[in-house]
Amino acid sequence: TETKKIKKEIVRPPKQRVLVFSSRGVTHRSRHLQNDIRALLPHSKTDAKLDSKDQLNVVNEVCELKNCNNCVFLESRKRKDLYLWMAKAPEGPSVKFLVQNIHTMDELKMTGNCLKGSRPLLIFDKTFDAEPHLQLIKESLNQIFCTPHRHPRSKPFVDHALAFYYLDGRIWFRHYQIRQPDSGVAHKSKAEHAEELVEIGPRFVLQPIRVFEGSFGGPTLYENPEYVSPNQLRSELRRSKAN
Amino acid sequence: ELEAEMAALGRSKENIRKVFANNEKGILEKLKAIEYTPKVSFLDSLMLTTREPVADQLQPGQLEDDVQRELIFYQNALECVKSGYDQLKQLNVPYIRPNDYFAEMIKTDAHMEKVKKNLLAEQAEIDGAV
Repeated sequence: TETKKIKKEIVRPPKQRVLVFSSRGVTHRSRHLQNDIRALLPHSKTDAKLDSKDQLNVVNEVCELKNCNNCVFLESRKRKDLYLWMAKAPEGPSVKFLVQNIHTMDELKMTGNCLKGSRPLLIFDKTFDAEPHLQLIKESLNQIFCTPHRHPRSKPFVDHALAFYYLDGRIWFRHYQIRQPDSGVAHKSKAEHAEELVEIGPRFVLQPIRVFEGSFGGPTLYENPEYVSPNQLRSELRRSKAN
Repeated sequence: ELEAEMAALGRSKENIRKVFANNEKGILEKLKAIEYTPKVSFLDSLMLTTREPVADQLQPGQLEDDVQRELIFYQNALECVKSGYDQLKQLNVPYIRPNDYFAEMIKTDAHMEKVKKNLLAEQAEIDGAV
């Protein structure tokens, strides 16, 4: 059992490379969000905006060309609604979310800052462990958002944290700087547990729509019964106004 | 004829009542196929989980209360950060940026200057109001 234990300890995570890109027709705000996500992922690559809207499985080919095994794809509809796809290419699974309440890093309200490419702590709400589809989402989020240890474009410090909370059927994203009371000497002094958080941004809310078995397709594994599409919401609003 | 139409309408209504997929077995199988974070060291995953669901910490009706919600988000994150730093410390790896380490930041100096100006302007407004 001794050797088994050692073997268990040296499990190395597979290399993660993330393709971050979007469809044509994204608004400036979604473009800024895409840039923010890229800034958070030193292990990401990007590609030209995707033209076709109906054949999303083309994305899998782009991933293969770019040598990426993960994908974050922002799909814009009607220049109003933004969807985010998170996929493990090429075998899947993939999850489609509706993105709401976007605040990008450009906004002046959020005063935090951190090193570019430093590794973040990843904080998940306990609720993610409660249901199978949330467990799957948690694992995928961690694989995508965790900067690989010793990645050439990363810096070997941990000075910020990404938090994913599950509330009201949605995932709330927050990004905080971890501020030391007096950085540098803090780890020696007595005040070593006086860390503070300052929000860096971006902020957004993801509502899960569907979980697919494949990457950008395949059988549906989970479908959110509470999801109402923005189109339906708008038409209902119009109808209630007309009455 | 009317009856037939009504029957058809009723049937289509039944069809509308959708069955939502939740193939738990399939999801767990897929999870098993991709999962590795529980097996790797903390240094490789950096994954932390809150002690309690945030939903249980919010009082009913507080979801729209920005201040209360952000406070709970902050507290949970801070608790996790402390536990994360403890774990990193036990692994005996350097994780705090030294004071003399300068490198590119995620927000540029120009942007931080704007942030500072904005803060000062806000402060001046508050002081002016008093």
